[in-house]
Amino acid sequence: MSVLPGFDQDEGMNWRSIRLELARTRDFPEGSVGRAFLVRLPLSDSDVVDHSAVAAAPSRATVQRHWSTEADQRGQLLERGHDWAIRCDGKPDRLLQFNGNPIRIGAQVSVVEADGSVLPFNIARVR
Amino acid sequence: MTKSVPDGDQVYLKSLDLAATEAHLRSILSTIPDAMVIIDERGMILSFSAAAEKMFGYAETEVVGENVSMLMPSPDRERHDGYLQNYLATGVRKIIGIGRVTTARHRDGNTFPIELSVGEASIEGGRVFTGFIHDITQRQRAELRFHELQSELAHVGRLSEMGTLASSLAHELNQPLTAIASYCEGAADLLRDEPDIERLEMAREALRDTAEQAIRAGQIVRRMRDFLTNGQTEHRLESLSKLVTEANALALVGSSEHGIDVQVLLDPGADPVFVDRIQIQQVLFNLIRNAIESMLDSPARLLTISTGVVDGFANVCIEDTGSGISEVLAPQLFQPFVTSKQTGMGIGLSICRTIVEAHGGRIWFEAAPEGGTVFQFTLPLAEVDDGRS
Repeated sequence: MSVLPGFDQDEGMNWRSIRLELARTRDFPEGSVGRAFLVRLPLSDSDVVDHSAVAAAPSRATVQRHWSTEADQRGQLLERGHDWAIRCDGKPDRLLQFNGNPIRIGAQVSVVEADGSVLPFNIARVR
Repeated sequence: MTKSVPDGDQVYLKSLDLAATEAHLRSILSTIPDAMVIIDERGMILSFSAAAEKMFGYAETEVVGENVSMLMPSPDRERHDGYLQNYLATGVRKIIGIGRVTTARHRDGNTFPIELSVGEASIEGGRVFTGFIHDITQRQRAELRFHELQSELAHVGRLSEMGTLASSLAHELNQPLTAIASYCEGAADLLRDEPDIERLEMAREALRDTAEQAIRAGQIVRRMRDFLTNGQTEHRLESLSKLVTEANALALVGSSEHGIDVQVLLDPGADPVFVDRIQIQQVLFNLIRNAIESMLDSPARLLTISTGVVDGFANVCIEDTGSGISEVLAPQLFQPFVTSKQTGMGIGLSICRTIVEAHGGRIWFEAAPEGGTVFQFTLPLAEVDDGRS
C-alpha cells in the first residue's frame, strides 16, 4: 500500500504510532493480536515520551482501541503523572502505564481498566 | 491379474494420497496473489494464507483462533458476528457467491479497499467459509483518477468553449437585436402623423419582422442552453452508504500514517439515491482528500464523515479539524481556477458543485465549531416503490 500523492510531507518532530497488543492473560494464554491499542505519542532519542512535544500539541496524543468484535473506540491520551489516561468516546478512563521503561518493540506495558483490572500489553510495533 | 495389497498398506497409500493432494493444493494456493482466509461458523480464523500474512501484517500462527472481525474496521467489525448468525439462521446470501467491495484494516491501523469473495463448504457436519481478498487500492485509484481527468478535461474544455461561445453568442444575438431595433424605429416612424393604409401595412410588416427576429434570438439562447447542459451521465438507484464506504476505502488510504483518525457515521435512512455512482464518488473522493490534506499541518487530525436525512434530502457531511478556509478564498471557493494549494488547477470543487447541482442537490461549506471546515452536500432521496402503495 502506498500513500496518496501529496501525502508525503514530513510530519515533523518525533511523533510515533505505537501498537500495543494484549499479552498473555488467564483468558488468553497466548495473548491476542486482535485486541490492541494504537497510541500516538512523541518519543525522545532514548525512546521515552517527549513531554515537551506533548505539551506543545496535546491534541495530537491520540489513541484507538481495536478490540476483536467490539466497535472501534478512539480518543485522547491525557498525562496523569507518570501515566496516561485513555479517554475514548465517553467511556470511563483507562490508565496506560509505561512504568518508566523505554518504548521499544517487545517491551511490556499495562492498561488499568475502569474496573481496576490490569491487562498486560506487548509493544508490537513503533513507527 | 491383480495384485492384492494388505490392509495396513492401503491405509498408508491413502495417507500418501491425502498428503500429496494437500501439498498440491497448498502449492496452488501459495501462488495465488489474493489473500485467503478460512473461518468456521463462529467467525474464528482456521487458516491464513501467505498472501494474507503479507496483506495484513500478521503471521498465521498469531491469528488462528482469533475472530476474523479483527481484520475489519468499524462498523463491520462489531457487526460481522451478526452477519454470520443471520446467514446461518436464514440462509439468505448477502455476500457468499456474490462478492463485494469493502474495507480492510492492516495491523498498522491503515485501512484499504478490498474486493471480497466468499465461498462455503460443509465439513464433518459443520461449515467453513473461505474468503478470497483482493487489494484493489491501485485499481480503484486508477479508475477514479481516470474519471477525474475525464471530468477535468470536459470541464476545462467546456469553460474554454464557453468563452468562444460567449463571443459567438454576442455576435449572433447582435444581428437580430439590431434588426429588432431598426424595425421598431421604422414602425414608429411609419405610425407617426395619422398614417395612411399603405404605411399601416408597412408598419404591420415591420412588427412581424420584429417578432421573427425575437424568435430567432430565443433559438440562439436555447441552443446555448442545450450545449451547456449536454452531459452524458448514467443515473441508477444506489445506496448512499455503499457509495460513501467505497469512496472512503480509497480516499483514506495512507491517512492513518499521518495520524488522522476517521469516524464514519452512516444513516441507512439516507439510502437510496438516484445518481451517477462514479460522479458522486468523485465528489466524495475530492472532499475527503481535501479534508485530509488540510489537516496535515494541524495538531488535531479527526475526520468525520456522516450521512443523514435533512429536510427530505440525503445529506453528506465531511468535517475536518484542519486549517480552515481563508476569508479571501471563501467567497469564490466553488469558482474554477481558485485554489489554496501549490499544485492542482483549482477546479475540483467547481466540478463537485457542477455534479451535485446537476443531481438536483446543493453543496456548501461552513467553519467547524472547533476549527477546520465542514463541507456538506445534499442529494434528492430516491422514491422507492416498496409495494405497499
